[in-house]
Amino acid sequence: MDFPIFHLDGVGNRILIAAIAITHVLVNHGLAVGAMPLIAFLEWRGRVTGDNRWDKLAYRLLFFCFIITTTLGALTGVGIWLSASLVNPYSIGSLLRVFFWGWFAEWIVFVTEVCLILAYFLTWKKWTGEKKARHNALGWSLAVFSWITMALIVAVLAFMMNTGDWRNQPSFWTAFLNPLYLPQLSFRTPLAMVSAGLLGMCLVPWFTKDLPDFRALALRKMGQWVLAWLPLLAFGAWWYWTSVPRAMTGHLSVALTTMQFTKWHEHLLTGAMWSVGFILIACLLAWLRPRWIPAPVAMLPFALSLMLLGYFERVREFIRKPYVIPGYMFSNAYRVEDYALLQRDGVLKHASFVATREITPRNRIEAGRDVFLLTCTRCHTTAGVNGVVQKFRAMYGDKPWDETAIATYVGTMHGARPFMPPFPGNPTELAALSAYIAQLPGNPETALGAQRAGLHAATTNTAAPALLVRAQENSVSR
Amino acid sequence: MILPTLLASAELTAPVPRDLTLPLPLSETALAVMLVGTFLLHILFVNLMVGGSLLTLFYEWRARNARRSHLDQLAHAICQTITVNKSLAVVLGVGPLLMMNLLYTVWFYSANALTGIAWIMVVPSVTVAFLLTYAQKYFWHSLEHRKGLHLAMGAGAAALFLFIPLIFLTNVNLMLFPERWSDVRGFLSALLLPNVLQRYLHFLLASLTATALFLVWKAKRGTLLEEASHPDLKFPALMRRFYRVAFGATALQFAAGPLVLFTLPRHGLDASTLIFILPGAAFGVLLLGLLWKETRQPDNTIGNLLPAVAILVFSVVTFMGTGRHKYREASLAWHRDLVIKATAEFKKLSEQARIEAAARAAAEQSSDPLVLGESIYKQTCVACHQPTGQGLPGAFPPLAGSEWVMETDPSRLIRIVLHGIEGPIRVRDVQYPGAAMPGHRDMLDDRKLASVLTYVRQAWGNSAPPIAPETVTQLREATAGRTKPWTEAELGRPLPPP
Repeated sequence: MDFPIFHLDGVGNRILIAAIAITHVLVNHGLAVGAMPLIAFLEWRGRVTGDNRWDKLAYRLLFFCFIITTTLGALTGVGIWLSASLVNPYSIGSLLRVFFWGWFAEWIVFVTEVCLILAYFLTWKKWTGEKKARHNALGWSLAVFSWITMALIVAVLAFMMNTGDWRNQPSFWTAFLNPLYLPQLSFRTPLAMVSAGLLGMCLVPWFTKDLPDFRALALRKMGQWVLAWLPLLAFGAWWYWTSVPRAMTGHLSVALTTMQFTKWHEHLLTGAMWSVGFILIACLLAWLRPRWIPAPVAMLPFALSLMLLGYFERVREFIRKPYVIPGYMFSNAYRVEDYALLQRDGVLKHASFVATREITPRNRIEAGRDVFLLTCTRCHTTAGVNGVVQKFRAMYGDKPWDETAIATYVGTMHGARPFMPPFPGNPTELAALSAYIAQLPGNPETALGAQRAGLHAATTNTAAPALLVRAQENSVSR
Repeated sequence: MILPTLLASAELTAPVPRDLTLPLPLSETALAVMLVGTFLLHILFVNLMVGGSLLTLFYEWRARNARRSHLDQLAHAICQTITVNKSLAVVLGVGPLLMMNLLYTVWFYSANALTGIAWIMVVPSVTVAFLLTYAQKYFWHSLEHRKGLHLAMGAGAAALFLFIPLIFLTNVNLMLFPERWSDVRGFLSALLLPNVLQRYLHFLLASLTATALFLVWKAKRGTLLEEASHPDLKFPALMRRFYRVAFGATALQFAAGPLVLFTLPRHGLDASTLIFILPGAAFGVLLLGLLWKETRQPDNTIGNLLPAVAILVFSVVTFMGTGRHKYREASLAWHRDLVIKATAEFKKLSEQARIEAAARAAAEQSSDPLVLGESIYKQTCVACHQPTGQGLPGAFPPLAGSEWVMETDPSRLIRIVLHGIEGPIRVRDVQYPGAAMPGHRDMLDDRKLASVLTYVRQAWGNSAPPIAPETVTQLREATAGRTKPWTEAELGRPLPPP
């Protein structure tokens, strides 16, 4: 990656993206894509039954969704971009060049969606009487635009999981025509609807404090809403679940036999079945015996649907490994096509933002740090989340680690750990990286990353000279 | 020949990174036009958001402090406008962000990384600022008797709105000067680069002008607030008040603008920038005159010149925005040339290396199972079982001398490699408590799997008969339904040698 290396050595970079992205997806699915049709439906119910209490409930629900989506929802949406461009600029930059028109269309739809939600919310109390039907139509169009924003972005997301045809035909349409697009969309759509209904179920007791009689009625309606979407959710989940392995066989290296993936894949199914089952029971109860449902119980199905969504996103992220863009770019941000050059010349020689170019016996720890920053830090930290220190301690224990063993492991691990990309540097760099890793337990890093240390990371490791001697002795004794 | 990192152009030196090699989706000119257009639209709403927040706070504070309660009504009216403007500011910002990513990939991302923590703090701080703005709006009446608390919420929002533009300005400023990248250590040092604070002042004044004119327009349409009996809240009086604010802020721009211009690094200042900036300033003079004229108008005609004011503002903004883009282009031109060269050079080298590597790989292809087996071992197995086949004590069992490896009937061994093994396993009388070997059935075809096992059975002093690919084929079919790794209990212990 030829950019200054932003790196969070404690929590890791992936958590930054994951926390922002998951929050966004939860808000977007539950409170926008699913909630807007539900709100328009409740408003419509108020109109046709003449019962103003539905209208009031719809308005309160919209107020809640409006506040959250226009703050947390909107900002985490932008935040996905900001964080992705910090953590993996090569990858987001490449995707933007290929999917420009997709993102551009997404932006136009997004602007429309925001204008519509502002209009829908702000005219609620003004467009009454004869104008009410028009107001309700505003709600339905908002629902449509919310769904289109999701339908567009799912194309890009689905593409990233699929081997696709990036290298021959990097075009926008390959995203829509890839085999995971429809399964994923037909899973996400009902999931959003179900989440919104369950959110409604949580909020009804709170919104109907002044209308105790109406509470049971409203709970029942929310239960029916969820039950109507639940069969579609089950179908979408099944379709998606069966499509993933088929698409995955395209990733030669991320085989289904990868134990981690097999476990996640199984957990997803069990998790989905339990969640759907529990949601089913809760909603049947809400429909048939709404008065039995105490407020805390109403929260649980919503929490379950959020967990299901979070788990789903995690699996989605995992199955594109060892790539960030299938077949084109590894998750370490190096392009597959540049490996031949880099493995011959080394990554340092072609990096513009490192202090060391030539590795000498005196600077190998420094050089190793630069190699670590360039090739490992997109996913790993030194001793924080997903830290290399923990990985090697699990294998080699607490006694001093052997550099050669580390080098052998790092150089070949992609063979047995297919989710890892191959090491992109040359043998000298591998040795320097191993020397750096071997000395990490005794010399923890304190200020890695260009956002703190600047471009040419200065030597902060005061123990380095002593270690250098030890490293030299090691190499002599061998 | 590799390009050295530090390349000099005239007197400037900077790191020269490589750009992405994928083509841009549109011509650079088209992207630049879209960038300037969408950016100006975005910044207009940012101005209204920041200016609105500041004016709300100011009038609410004046109302309380100077006991001029009618100003509280004005503050409330301005506050009503922020929530719409701020939503548009955010959503419209995504467009220019998209264009920036494409047109200035290397420069924008580098600046982002160098100020990374502050840059990502934009997300939570804007979220909090927006929530505070909602609280300010929706608790205006319910907190009537706790004005201190309410003012504190508004002050919190305003402080955040004042701080966040600094992050953006620092970033887009840093982007322009790769020659300074090496000096930067985090956000604060980038903030203190010459020019950021001047541009910030320029931005704040623009926010005041834009918001004041927006409020003149609302007052003229009669939608700013419900006209009250207090003479200061009559629409003509409100228009005059905000025209004065706009006039004052615009007049100060004639100090702030030149300050920005003269502190900008010289190498970007060329004729292409000035032919836009100077006419922009001339329109500014006309605008100032017109604003002054409007403040002197009597109640019945004030506001009539607002369309002319709007046209002049549009002209100033378009010229200044274009000039700003021209400056950006000119100041990066030297570096862009170097980046293009470095990118092309790297692309060529990479291609050559690929051709060489392909030729080498073809030569290394071998039909001898032991040679093939050794090369697979070195790619696939060596990480855990080590080059010596001895494994690692306590973690990975040895293959050398292993009863599992050398069993005459290889079916147990093949099963393990196909599907993996987990849980405790005993090898050479040593117990390994937590084996976790993944299966390799999708990575190794029958020939490769047979070769690597043949190698393992004959290396390091091992001696066991070779394995035929057909044996692997049969076992693969027989265990096709298996999805989990085996356990020692399932497989049973290997038979002792005959």
